[in-house]
Amino acid sequence: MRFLSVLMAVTAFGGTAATSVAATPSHVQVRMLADVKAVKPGDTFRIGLLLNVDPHWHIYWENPGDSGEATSIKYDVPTGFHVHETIFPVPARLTLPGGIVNYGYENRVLLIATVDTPANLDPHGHPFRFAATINWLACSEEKCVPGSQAIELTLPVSPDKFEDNQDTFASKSLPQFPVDCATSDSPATCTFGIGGAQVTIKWKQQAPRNVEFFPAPEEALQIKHVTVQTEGDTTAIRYQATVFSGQTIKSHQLRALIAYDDGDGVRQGVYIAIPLESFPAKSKP
Amino acid sequence: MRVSKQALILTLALAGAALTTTVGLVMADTMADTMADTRGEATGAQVGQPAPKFSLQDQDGKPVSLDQYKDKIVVLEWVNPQCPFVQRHYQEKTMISLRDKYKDQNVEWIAINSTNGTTAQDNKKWVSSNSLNYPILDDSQGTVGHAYGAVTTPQMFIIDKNRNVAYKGAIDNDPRGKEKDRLNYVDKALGELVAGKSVSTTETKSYGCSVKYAK
Repeated sequence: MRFLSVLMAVTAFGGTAATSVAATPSHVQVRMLADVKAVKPGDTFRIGLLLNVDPHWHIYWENPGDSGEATSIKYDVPTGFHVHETIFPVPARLTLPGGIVNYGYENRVLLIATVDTPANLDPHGHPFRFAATINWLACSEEKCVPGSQAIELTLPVSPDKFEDNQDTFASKSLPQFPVDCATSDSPATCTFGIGGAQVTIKWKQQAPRNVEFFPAPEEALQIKHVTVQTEGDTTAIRYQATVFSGQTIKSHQLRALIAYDDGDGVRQGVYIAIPLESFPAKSKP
Repeated sequence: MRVSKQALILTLALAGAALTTTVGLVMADTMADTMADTRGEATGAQVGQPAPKFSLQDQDGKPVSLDQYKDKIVVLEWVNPQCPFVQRHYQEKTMISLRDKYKDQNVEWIAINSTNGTTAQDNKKWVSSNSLNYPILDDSQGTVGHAYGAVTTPQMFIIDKNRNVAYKGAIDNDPRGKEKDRLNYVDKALGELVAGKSVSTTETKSYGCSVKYAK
């Protein structure tokens, strides 16, 4: 059905809208798509890579966990367009033989980015080409295989907005996109305890089940002894963060994702930014 | 959980921490719906602690034990010939050039393969195809891998002359092999050790394939 709607889009816009479907080079099939049929001057739209991962294989979140490698995407867009950072949906915590923990995705996942369209485009001008190169590492319990693919998508310009692929971008059967805890649509309020070693999540509605904590990558910091405890409408997350000797923390915040099951059993996520500068600076005795 | 329910907030050094620094440690109070993340909690070799002893067979079936390298600095390299990260380092001769750089300075290099199902024959093939002058030990049961807490290939451990772990972690700071000025942590640590200095970077996050342990 997806292919059919793409064909219809091609027809509607004189054969210029397109999507590409690539072969499986290494256990992952990549398709590029946008949430619009055409770009509208001054508007924003979302672009995404839909990845089909072979059964029993997985690819990685921005922090791969104990092993593996983060999936990365580099966009090449026409002058004047601006692509924001890749948004990774909520990962799964995968435990491999030997107790090795990976953060990643199995089956299908959509990685998206917001694109700003310049206002000064000729609304009846030529179509634009958006290119992406994606690198991933696919692993099974037995093997890892790196993969890379260049892919592109052409979109015409239109003075009106025509949505497309909404069922994919809003699909409940794909991993969901997290919301920032500091925004009004967050399902919770997030506060950080003295020393930053505790995060308190106060849920606006009933506390969810299966709450998990995923720290974003920070090479100089080791996060250990994580406990996630939910009682009433509050989840308390505690952990030990250790700075590796001889290394420095690059950021003043530790970004992390709180994953949970919502009332419908759909896995959701909330982003938090734990302020590292609030830690008391004491030297080790 | 292992520790009492008290908050131990020790330290933070945002920049240039000279010691391993604990930012905060609070343990769970018990109760419902508590999930513990076991990442990094596996027991294993710890920096500054005695290195776990081992005795394994090399690619020719010859027994090799840590005890036979008295008064030597020993580098342990977790290897899996099937892993693309390992393959890249062998194409680039990262390990063998480092081994050769320090081989006359009382440094021994030992590779360990903890891949489930691997045979001495597989290891022998890797030794000969890469013309290695160091052994690969068969740990296909995963015992030594678990004793050290090895999670990736490659992953490196340096054992000092006193038989303590002096470094654990990545071979370098360049998982993709694309950085122009790469920092090889093992080279840096070995340089410091042979000069009689203490190791400045004692622990890093290793990268690579997961060690393919038996289920």
